[in-house]
Amino acid sequence: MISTLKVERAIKDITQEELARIIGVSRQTINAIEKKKYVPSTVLALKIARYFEKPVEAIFKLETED
Amino acid sequence: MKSQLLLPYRYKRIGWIILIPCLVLGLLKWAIMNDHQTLTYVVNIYYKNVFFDIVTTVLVAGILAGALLVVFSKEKQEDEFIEKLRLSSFGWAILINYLILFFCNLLFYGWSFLNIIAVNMFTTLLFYIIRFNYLLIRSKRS
Repeated sequence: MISTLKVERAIKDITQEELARIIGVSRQTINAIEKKKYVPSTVLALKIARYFEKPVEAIFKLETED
Repeated sequence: MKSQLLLPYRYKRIGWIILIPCLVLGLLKWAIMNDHQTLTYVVNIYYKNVFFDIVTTVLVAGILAGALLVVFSKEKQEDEFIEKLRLSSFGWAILINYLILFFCNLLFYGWSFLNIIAVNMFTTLLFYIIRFNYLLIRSKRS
């Protein structure tokens, strides 16, 4: 899965720590998503998308091998 | 999302406080005075009255209680990623534990195997603690 979370975060100029606190997860979770080590659940993906005020697919996209 | 079966975070510290001294004392007792038993007279419902080594019983209870508290209490910020780490660490711990037991079964016999089984009582929990904390620290650093 492709994630543009890091880019979105840079646009909003918000750290992993702050984003994690707003969404209610640990910093490791945000970090793991950005490092492609973890695929977030639908609920978490929706929460992230709601924070950035974008549809989920603007942040998370399927890759060809998915 | 709610994860069940987990105690609040503060129990983790209590767990460590019980686990570490019991583990150290247990290892010392096991290594140094394996055969010296501190026999104590205890009234027990099942055996009526019996002489047994109370130090071992207390230490085993301490290690198990401490390890269980550490394993089954939440992290400071428990979320779905931590839950995933938890689950994968459980799988890893059980696999490693039984692989070791499998080979020990083939290589050791009699009393030495009984000793291994005695240690094996704790290893699933201990392997889990080591693996989970390793994954946690690694994901914190990167």
